[in-house]
Amino acid sequence: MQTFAFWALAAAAVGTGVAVFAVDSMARATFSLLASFLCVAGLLLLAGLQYLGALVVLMMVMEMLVMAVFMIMYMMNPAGLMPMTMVHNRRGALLVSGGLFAVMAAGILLVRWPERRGRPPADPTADLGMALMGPKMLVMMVIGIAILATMIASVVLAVRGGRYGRAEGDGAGGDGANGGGAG
Amino acid sequence: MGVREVLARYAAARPRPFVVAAADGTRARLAVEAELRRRGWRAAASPAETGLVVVCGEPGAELAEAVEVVWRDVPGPRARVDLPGGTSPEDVARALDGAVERLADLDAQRSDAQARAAAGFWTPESADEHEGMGHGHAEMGDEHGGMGNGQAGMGHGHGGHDMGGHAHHMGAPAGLAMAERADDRDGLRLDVLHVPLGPVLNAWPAGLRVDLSLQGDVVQAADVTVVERGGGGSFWGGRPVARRLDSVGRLAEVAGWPAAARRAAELRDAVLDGRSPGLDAFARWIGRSWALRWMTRGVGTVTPELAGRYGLPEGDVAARLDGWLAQIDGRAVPRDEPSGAALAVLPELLDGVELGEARLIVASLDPDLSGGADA
Amino acid sequence: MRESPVWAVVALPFALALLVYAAAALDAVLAGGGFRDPLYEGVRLLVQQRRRTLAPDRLLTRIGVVALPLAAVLGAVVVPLGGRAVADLTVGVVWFNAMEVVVWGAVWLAGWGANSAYGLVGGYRFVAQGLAYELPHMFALITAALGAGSLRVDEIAHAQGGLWFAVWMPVAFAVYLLSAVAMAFWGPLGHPAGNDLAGGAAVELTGPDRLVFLAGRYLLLVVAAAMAVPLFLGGDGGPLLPGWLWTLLKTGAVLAVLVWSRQWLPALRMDRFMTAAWTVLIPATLLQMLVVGIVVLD
Repeated sequence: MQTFAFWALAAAAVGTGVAVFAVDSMARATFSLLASFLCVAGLLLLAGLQYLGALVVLMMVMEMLVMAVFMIMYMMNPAGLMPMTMVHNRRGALLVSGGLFAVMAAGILLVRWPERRGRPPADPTADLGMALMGPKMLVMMVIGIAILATMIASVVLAVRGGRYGRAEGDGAGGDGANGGGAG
Repeated sequence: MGVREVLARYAAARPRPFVVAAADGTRARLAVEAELRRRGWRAAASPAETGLVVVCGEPGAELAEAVEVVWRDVPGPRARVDLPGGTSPEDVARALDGAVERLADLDAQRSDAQARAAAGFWTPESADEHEGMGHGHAEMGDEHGGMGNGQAGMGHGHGGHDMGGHAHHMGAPAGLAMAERADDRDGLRLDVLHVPLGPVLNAWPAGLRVDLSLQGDVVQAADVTVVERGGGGSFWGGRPVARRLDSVGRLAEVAGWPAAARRAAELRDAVLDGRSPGLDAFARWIGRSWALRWMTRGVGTVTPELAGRYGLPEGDVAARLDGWLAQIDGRAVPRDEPSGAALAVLPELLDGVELGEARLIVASLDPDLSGGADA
Repeated sequence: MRESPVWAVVALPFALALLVYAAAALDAVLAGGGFRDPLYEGVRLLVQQRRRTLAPDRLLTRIGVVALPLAAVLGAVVVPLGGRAVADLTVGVVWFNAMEVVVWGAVWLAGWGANSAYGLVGGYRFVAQGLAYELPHMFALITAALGAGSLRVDEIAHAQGGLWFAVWMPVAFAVYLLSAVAMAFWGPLGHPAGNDLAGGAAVELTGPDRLVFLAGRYLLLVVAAAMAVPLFLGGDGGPLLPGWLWTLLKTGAVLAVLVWSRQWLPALRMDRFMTAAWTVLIPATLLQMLVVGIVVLD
């Protein structure tokens, strides 16, 4: 059962990964990439790494959605529904990705993998946290908060006029860059 | 067979009517809203949600065409009710009962669906291959949900002819042209969508159309058109308090506060009946909502300069709402405001606001087109 | 993961269905209808034909529509709604969070796929809303986990033997309730499906699609309400009555508050709410977490 699930998820991950380049719409490419990542998350869950699996789902969905918004912003319309090919510089890309694949596959085959010693811990999440942060937990926490505060502060400063540039009521203007750009 | 009929009857028992008002249809609209409230039916916000279109008043040529586009897109089982301006409450009740009968009439609905499929105006999901039959105008209407008048959705102009199906690559899908682009406020070149608001739209002043140029959800330009006016005097002439309650209800609907909208409609009908229960409490309730104030403050501000130019009172949406509430609970003298100034100032107020704010601004000015042209 | 009894698996769908219907019926009654309205509406949408828009992406729309209830159900498996959770993951809180973020994708797809300007704007709005509520929401979840010293939902519930977390983490609880309505784009945070967009992300959904989408939204509301019980309201603890009944009662109470919030407040727009979320809610939840951390360390 587990083996079957593993192979099914692995095949789906590769298949949706290929689909990213085969489909003709930005949105479908984005969401096949997301589907591919979700399959990888399923593989992690299958391996008993629940925390990592859930985290991959969480991060990837958010990431792809933010990407989709930018896609809609910048791509020619109608809003990403326009069919377009997903590959550019086909030969160069094939060369690079083929080479990369060969290197990584060779790595998998050539590296001597360590034998398993001991048993997996009862709670891999806690062990993972200790391994990553361990004695530096306090430092990491402080840095995390500091980064967050910096991010929020810089965003607040950058868009002083509000997202729409006119929240402070600078009246009717043109449609040029007369809004938050000056902040 | 029995099961189908029972299901159809069940499905028809609580329709979600989509109410469209013509400029001269205010009286009929109020009768319909009262009847819906009595029956516990909830109105639909979009043509996709409904199976029952109720047209109040007698639409002029352009509105009639817009209604026709909407009607063409209403998914079956469907029924349409036309109520001329001077409809009595009994007529409304009878018409709605008739609509329920028609909605539950399986044979009639089936032949309606077949006729539509054959005509090609509207293709049910299963009849996929009808795509690109060439009724360009109708296809355009499909696209933006009949919210507008079927002229320009998503900025492609009148496309829809000679669609080649799915064979396109790097070309325009379904024969749609690419959007034009323009600078946005951050100096990026972004797409411009042309989206008409009205004349067929929920919680929208009857007879008005505003053509928006949108970048994302930010209005870059707005063009105001009066589609039609009711002849003769306004329905609201001499009923300023009821009119204000109607406006507050529409503003609450647009602001996403259905409870306030429902209460406003109840009070409006009570005031029209010559009663005035709980107007003070209502004005206090709405006036004290910090959330509504938070969401309407600084939106659609009529600056002193604009006020001088158009002869309007200064202030933002929150201030205009406060003005209405003062008229409702008697703190201020109720007065009829001419809608000409509101129409004139709209394009300037809408420039650069978010789509939701744009709806609030229109609702807060609430031009009354139910009468003839005013000063 | 701990093994769950079979009845927990059987009980979950019943509990979910019951609560979804109760939420829809309560909303109908509050809006002036009757408690049987959801039934009528459900049948009406089932027999309704689908209509199509010009150049839609039907596949992605369908995926979005189906993903909404699916995410809610997957989130529900870690919630001990029928007494015991169907799958009591060691990282239940993170799993719940991940499933709730899947909703972002679902709503965006449903809104975008119809090729309608209103749906598109509705989809945008939900992503913006997600960015506004998600961080305070995460901090609220972590605060509860911190209080119990575990990410397992069951352990969090039973760490509240003496005092409910809602009592001594009021900020986290309030933020959680707010984000519960936000993730289900309901009531005051229902702007993505707002009336000013004639239904926003759901504007073009017809027939069974709309039914699944709306049911999925109620399902989310139910799951969010049910999750509040083990996180903040002492789980199945309570005098006299059996545990499962307490869970159901508490869930029902939270659900009623969430449904009623639609009557209480107008829709909050993200161009205003975002500022408040990032400059008020995030610092407030961080302070709450600091307080809880100090208490726990003590």
